[in-house]
Amino acid sequence: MESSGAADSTALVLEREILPPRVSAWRVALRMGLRKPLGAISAFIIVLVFGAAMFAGWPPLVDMKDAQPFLARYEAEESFFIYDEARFMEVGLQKEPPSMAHWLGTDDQARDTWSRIIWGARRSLRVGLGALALGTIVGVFIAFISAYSRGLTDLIIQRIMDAFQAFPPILFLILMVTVTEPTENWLTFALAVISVPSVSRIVRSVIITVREMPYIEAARVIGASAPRIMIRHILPNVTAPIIIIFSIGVGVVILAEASLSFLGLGPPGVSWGEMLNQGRLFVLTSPWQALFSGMAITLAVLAFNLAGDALRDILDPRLRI
Amino acid sequence: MTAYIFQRVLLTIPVILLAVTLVFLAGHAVPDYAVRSIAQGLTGAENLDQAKQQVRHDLGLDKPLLQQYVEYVGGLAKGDLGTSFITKQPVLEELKLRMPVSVELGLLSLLVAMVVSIPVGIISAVRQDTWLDYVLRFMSILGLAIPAFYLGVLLLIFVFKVFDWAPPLTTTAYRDLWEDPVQNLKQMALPAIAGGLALGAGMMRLLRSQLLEVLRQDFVRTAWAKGLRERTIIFRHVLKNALIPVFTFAGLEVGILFSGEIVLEWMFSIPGMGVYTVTSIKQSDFPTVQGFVLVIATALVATNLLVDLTYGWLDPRVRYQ
Repeated sequence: MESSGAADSTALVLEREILPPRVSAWRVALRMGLRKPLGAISAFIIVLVFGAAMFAGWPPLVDMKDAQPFLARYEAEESFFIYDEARFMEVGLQKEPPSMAHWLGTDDQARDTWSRIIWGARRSLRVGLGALALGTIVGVFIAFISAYSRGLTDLIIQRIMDAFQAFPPILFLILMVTVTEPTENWLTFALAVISVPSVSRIVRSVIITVREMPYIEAARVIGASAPRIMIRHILPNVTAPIIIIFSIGVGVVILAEASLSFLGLGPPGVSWGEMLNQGRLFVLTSPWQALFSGMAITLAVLAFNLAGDALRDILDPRLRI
Repeated sequence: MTAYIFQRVLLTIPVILLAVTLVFLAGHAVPDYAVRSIAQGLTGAENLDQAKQQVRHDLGLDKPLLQQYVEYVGGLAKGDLGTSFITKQPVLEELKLRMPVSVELGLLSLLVAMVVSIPVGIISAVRQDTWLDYVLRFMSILGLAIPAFYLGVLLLIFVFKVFDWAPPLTTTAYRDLWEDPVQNLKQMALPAIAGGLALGAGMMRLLRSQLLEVLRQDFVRTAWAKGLRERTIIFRHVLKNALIPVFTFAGLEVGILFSGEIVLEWMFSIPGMGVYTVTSIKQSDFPTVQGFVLVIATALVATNLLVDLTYGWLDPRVRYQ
């Protein structure tokens, strides 16, 4: 009886003095924010971009004909006119500088630049998240096959991945948009293909190190099946690198989509790259559209990259190259 | 060294093979609308379907896939990249016309990158942790973060607002370097600076970290102890050793340079291969796009190989890895 009491008190001491005190998630977030200010700012920008994409046409439940878009303020394709008293006619409000009515000015078709940037967040996020989600799933799958098969299959898969990685993304995209008239889904697919090699390469290297660990061997000895070992024991080790690659990859993909749209090769619809392409034509007389759409691209790409860097430092400093 | 060269050359084969195969497969899937648009231009055929058949036959699309592939690769081996749908001229000739323009822009960018990054990297490393170092490092992070085409927009607006000057922004205003150097450089200056800064930022950071590493080595301490002047130590002993990885990096970044060039040519209306290709995509001129992708891919592989070999020659340690 006495010995069990001693064990209890040891457990208490352990809990009180050796184990770290429990802290709330908010406090952890705050501490991260203070230690990684750049990461925190990036996270904030990412939240803003998400907010812009989600609430551009808010409230979603109200009939859109009556409701004014909340965050975007205007519809993406809405043109603005003003009555010209001298000429007794309506004239378009083209290439206006920023004002209270049009926060970031208007473009050559008299559309509101602020609204279009807010609507454009949807394209960037849809393409970025979609491509990385698909690319990650395929990449992880290939990594498992590659790492588990070892030998010749592994070698061949890795050589193919290397070759893909050596191929500049923009060239691949150019081929893909020439094959068929691009839609958003087709573009997302093409960008997913581009993100597969880097995902599979990093995940494979993690699997290979983990695979040789004693606890994996132990799991195999007690008779765990291969799928069980992969899902229960190896996959949790791979989540940190996946989260990091995902964040950085979204930035890369957003930039690639913007470049393609900038060349006028993107799918139809509002896109930051396309806005920059239009804006460059009158950049000297009315620089607002080019200035702000380019800023949106830069900030979004930078935010995802820096957030990925901060996550890497927090989750897995070994991955630092 | 022979074994090393052999091994390196062998490693480029998968990349070339992938490029050729991708380009071929994309060509085999020549979009129906491209066939249709050519068919519509064809006279003499009774109806559209017949014309389309004719076009497919002319392009060799009705033959078995393997036979097409062999013929295509055979053509490539003889330097035949196909014939443009639009101009009816050999693609290789069309690209050759525009190649010097793109190469000039690339070399100018590289020049800007080196002129900026080498002195800045040296100052930043030698005066480590001073305010000057912080300012320069901050600038380099900005250079890395801002996409080249947005940097181009910012430069253009800046130059126009401050100096009230803008380069000619049409392809018709472009003059060859030999024909009218002043006019040529006027149009080339801003894109070269934009591309050069994007590339130079990465080079500067690498050079700085390399210099810091070399500065702490024993032979540098010996040099100080001998009483050599700072200038002699930096330029004759440290810089030589630190520059090798930087040049390797620059060589490997040529791919990024090329991708950046397409958008910069587009931004500043410079009639190089990039603009020509983008126009060709919009006109569904498939052979031209294929040819462009292959030319760039080959150029990249060749540069990477050259970099690898030079590196192996300069630093014999890498040969045995």
